Amino acid sequence: MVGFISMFLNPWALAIGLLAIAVPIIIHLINRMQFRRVRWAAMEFLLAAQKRMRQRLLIEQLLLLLLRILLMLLLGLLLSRWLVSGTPPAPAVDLVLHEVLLDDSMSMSDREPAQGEERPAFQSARDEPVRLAKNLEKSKLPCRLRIRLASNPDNPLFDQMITDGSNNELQQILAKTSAQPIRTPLMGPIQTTVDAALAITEPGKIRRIVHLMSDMRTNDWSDGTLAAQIARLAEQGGEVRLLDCASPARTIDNEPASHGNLAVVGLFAETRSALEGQPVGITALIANFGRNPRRAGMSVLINGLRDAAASTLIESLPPGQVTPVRFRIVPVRPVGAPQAIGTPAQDPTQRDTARRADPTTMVVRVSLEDDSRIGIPADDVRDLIVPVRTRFPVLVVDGASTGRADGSTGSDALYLGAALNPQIFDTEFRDPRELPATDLDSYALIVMLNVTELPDTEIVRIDRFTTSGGGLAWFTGDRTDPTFTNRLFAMGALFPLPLANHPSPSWTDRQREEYRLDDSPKLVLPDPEHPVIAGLVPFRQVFRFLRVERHWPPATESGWREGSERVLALPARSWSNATRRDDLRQRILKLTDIGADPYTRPELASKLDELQRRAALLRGRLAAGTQFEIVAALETFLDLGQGTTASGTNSLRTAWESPVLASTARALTELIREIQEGDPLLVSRDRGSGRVAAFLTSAGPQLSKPPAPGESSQGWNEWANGFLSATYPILIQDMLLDLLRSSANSTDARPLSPSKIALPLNRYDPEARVFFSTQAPPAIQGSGNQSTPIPARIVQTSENAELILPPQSNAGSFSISLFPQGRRLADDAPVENLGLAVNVDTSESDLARATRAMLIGGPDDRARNIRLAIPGDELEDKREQARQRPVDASETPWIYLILMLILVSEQALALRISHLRPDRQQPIGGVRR
Amino acid sequence: MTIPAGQDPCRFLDPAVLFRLGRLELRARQAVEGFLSGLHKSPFFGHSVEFVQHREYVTGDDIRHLDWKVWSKTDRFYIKQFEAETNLRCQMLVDCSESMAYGREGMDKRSYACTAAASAAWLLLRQQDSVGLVTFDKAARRMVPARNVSMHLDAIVNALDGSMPGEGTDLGTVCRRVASSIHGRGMVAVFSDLLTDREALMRALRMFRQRKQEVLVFHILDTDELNFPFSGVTRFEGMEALPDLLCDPEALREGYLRELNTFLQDVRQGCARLGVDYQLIPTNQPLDAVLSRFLHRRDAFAGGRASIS
Repeated sequence: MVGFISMFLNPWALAIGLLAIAVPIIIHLINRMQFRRVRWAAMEFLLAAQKRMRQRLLIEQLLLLLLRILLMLLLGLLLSRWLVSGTPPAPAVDLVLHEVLLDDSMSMSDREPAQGEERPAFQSARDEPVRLAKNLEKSKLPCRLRIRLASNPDNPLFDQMITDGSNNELQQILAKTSAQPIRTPLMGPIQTTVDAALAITEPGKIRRIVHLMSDMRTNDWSDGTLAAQIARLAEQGGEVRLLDCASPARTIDNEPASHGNLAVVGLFAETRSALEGQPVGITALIANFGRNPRRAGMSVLINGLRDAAASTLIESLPPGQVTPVRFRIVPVRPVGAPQAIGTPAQDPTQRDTARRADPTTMVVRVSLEDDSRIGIPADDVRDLIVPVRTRFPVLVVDGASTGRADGSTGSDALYLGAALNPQIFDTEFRDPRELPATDLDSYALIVMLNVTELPDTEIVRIDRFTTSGGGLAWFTGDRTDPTFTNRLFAMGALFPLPLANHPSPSWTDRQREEYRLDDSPKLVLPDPEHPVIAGLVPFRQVFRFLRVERHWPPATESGWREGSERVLALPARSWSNATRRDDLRQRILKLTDIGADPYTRPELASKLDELQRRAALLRGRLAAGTQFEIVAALETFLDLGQGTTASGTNSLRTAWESPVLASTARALTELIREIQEGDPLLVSRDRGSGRVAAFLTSAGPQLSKPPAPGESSQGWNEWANGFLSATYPILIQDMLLDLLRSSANSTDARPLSPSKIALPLNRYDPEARVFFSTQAPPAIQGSGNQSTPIPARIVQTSENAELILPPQSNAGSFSISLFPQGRRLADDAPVENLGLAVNVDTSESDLARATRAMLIGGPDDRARNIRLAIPGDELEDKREQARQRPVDASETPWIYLILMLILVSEQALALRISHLRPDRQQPIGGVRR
Repeated sequence: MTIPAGQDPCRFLDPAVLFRLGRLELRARQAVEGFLSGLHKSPFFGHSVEFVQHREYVTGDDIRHLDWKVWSKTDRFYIKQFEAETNLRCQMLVDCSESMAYGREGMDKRSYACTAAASAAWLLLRQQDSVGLVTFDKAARRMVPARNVSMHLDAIVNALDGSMPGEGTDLGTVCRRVASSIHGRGMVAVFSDLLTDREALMRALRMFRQRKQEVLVFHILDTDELNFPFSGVTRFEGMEALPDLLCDPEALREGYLRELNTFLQDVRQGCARLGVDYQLIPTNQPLDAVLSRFLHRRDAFAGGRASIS
């Protein structure tokens, strides 16, 4: 019934038409009721005539009735506007709900000046709701328009029934919006919008239309969850209009054209803390999201000033790749920063406070300058905050000093202290008992020397210290308690590896003598390129004279190796086992078989001779060589050795790095480790944003306590004071500096959301001085690149204090100065400087556009009420509109033709039946006057 | 001779005028006077009083016709019979059946028929012809024997006046009965709409003819019946026990007229075959048609009688 009624634009007229069909019948019946009575004599003839003509009369009368009924029916059809073609119009609705989701994520700021005007996609998208509102104002149906921004989907920007002024009001509201420099996953907003559209249940029929004005990137759409949300609405009778605002405009093609984008996807310093005047290496990761190689200028600003030396022109950025660009900068303290304090204060607390006030923040800003200006501007800039200190404060906790009445330090602390360059390190020695009173945050590094145990509260503080970016070095010794260290290891590897229950046994004199005569290397460098030992590699050969008598071997389980870096190790003893040796030999032979697969590949033809030569050398060594000779031969074969790296002509470096040989090279490297590497001596690993390391023999050459019965009184090693004592400071300092090495890209805060920095309780004045240096170019910002003070307060609760930084509309960096409590205005107040870089999330930088199939799951969008459009498109597709526009009978000529034919035949028949003939009055029967 | 304007003799014969006259007698007289005044030649002629024979008196004979001289001579009663004692013996059959009641504005067919009959009777009586009357419907209702005395007109008029529209028409039976009572040559005039069984009608007419009667059939039909001018849905209520019919007369007109024509044709042909003088008289026709027809026939009859005798 509804389907039938929907065949008519004006179904009520049809009812009237149907009633009108009865009119001829009713007239007929009325005529039958109003008759004249005549008493008639010549009934005989009348009856005969009637009998004879009855059939014809009946047919004629019925035909006439039929024609008249048909006439009425056609009139009814005409008036009811019977649809002869086109789909019937949607049934009348009581409310049209337009839910608009305006994507204001970072990618919407994409622009393409080559296409004419420089207009970000967001501006195109922003005009669409206004256009929609203008269109809706003309609509006769009640329309409700609700607009949400993807960045704030829960609070609609605009929610009104459309009236005449709506479009102007909307224009004013939208003029204040802009694309946000953050990534906004569309899933949540779309879900909210769809839910909101479905939640409206006013009485009557509602037509729900969801408009998504976005740039439809593969990032968002590839996994199909968004399409599923949209399908959810479509399945429940809603309509979806996907408006692709990205440039270049989407065409009917399945794969829309897209243009590239350059983005600085990463920026990190090699260290978490820099020293003034000491060059720091910084790596910028520049991604080219596009299909063509690009070139771009990279300018580096340090504290807002362009660093001409670091700024460079990157000639080639290969498409689809991330290109690391390394540069060095020399950190400087900003003008006006307080200088290093001359004489250290006597009070340790004051010393700590002074250390806290030492770092200043250096803002390193890398921005890409691209001639074409294509892409998203926001991700072309990235900030990095590097704290710059005058010296690295090191807290040395000497376990050996525990129990000493005079407070003097043990040999470990003595030798370690001597090894640290006071120009670089600001060393503070503390007793473990003094630890609770120490402000750990004042230090960049903590060194634990021969510590037996620490109270749990201190463990928690140290744990927090490392996870928040501190470096922690453990030096073992005779006081080390494996129970304690293993407990720390269980706490997320606060001690980087589990230890065996006992240290290696002390040697007898004879063993020492044999060891002295043995000229094989006493120390193995598993990774010669590790930054800690990069300085030691040149002295590699001298390590055969180093005596490392005792150490703490790791526990037998090897799970700790995962994620840890073994920097130094003792030689392996496995070579002395004949079975194992044969097994290793067989594996080497198998992997170096030049006649076999990876070496016979055509790509390696040019290098085959050299490979054969080295393989022959290796086989020669393999027969009778010691483990180190074999390792050396293997390193030669792999072109890893010191001697061969420089030889240009016969270099096999490229061959080994080629994908053909990569797996073989890895297997051989692993074999080298297996042959030579024994118990580790120095293990380090990342922990949180900090780093921990363990030196598994003692720091100093002497025992800290009297030896146990039966043990030698000899020290554990003689590195600090022996023949090789010159390398000791290099190792120690590199090891400590390595603890400051930053592991990865520093975490970035998000703009638009308040950033919080946890601070100690009751230390700072609630008023902090905060500047924000925005990344937005002056053209957009308007007020130039000038930093403006920002109101920020420290909020104290009973447990902690937090500095809450207000959200910013753009990425940039905060420079924060904290004042001691109550000394806000004091001249000599030690001001602490912090920095926080707020960078854009570059996960939206990839401007690859979603294919039609991703968006609407195929070409059958009409059937599913999902339509893909571009800005400027008609709200309803013209062709579709024309196709769907109902053509009713009144627009077709034939109905009039039929009507006319029926009318004419009706008249003719009526005339015929009514016998209106000219000879009517002629008398018959030959009657004459 | 030209007739001065306004002196059209038919003016008295216009039925519309005539029928305003209430009494039939007056009507008839008016009609005949009007008719006769228009004739060029006087139709009156002398009585034939030539003696033909004597005949013995039988009971019922008018004693006025006794030949007293013969009685005185022979003491026997003889009737003295004269030639053309009655010049013409005319029997008029007036249909008073229900169907004759049709008509508009009082001019129904029966009135017309009665007027015509009365007029004819008066005309004939004035010529000393004897005129009898039978009104009938299903059966003969009133019978007035044929007489030639002028007073006889009263009887005829009374009989006509008293004839009420009856039921159906059974002309055959009536004619048979009338025919059986007619002796000798004479004239039979039938005033009827002939809406009866055709076979019986023809049989009856043939019977009259076989009895050497001149037969005049005045087929009186209303103009409505001839033209069927009705329009609009009409319920025709059948007279003489015929069923009613509700119909659109315009649609049936054609068929009706065809039927009617067939009927008229049949009747005319049947009459012609039998030598019956047939005349269709629509009721709007002046009565002169009837009267002139009578005169012509009477002339012919007289001439015929002369030739026969």
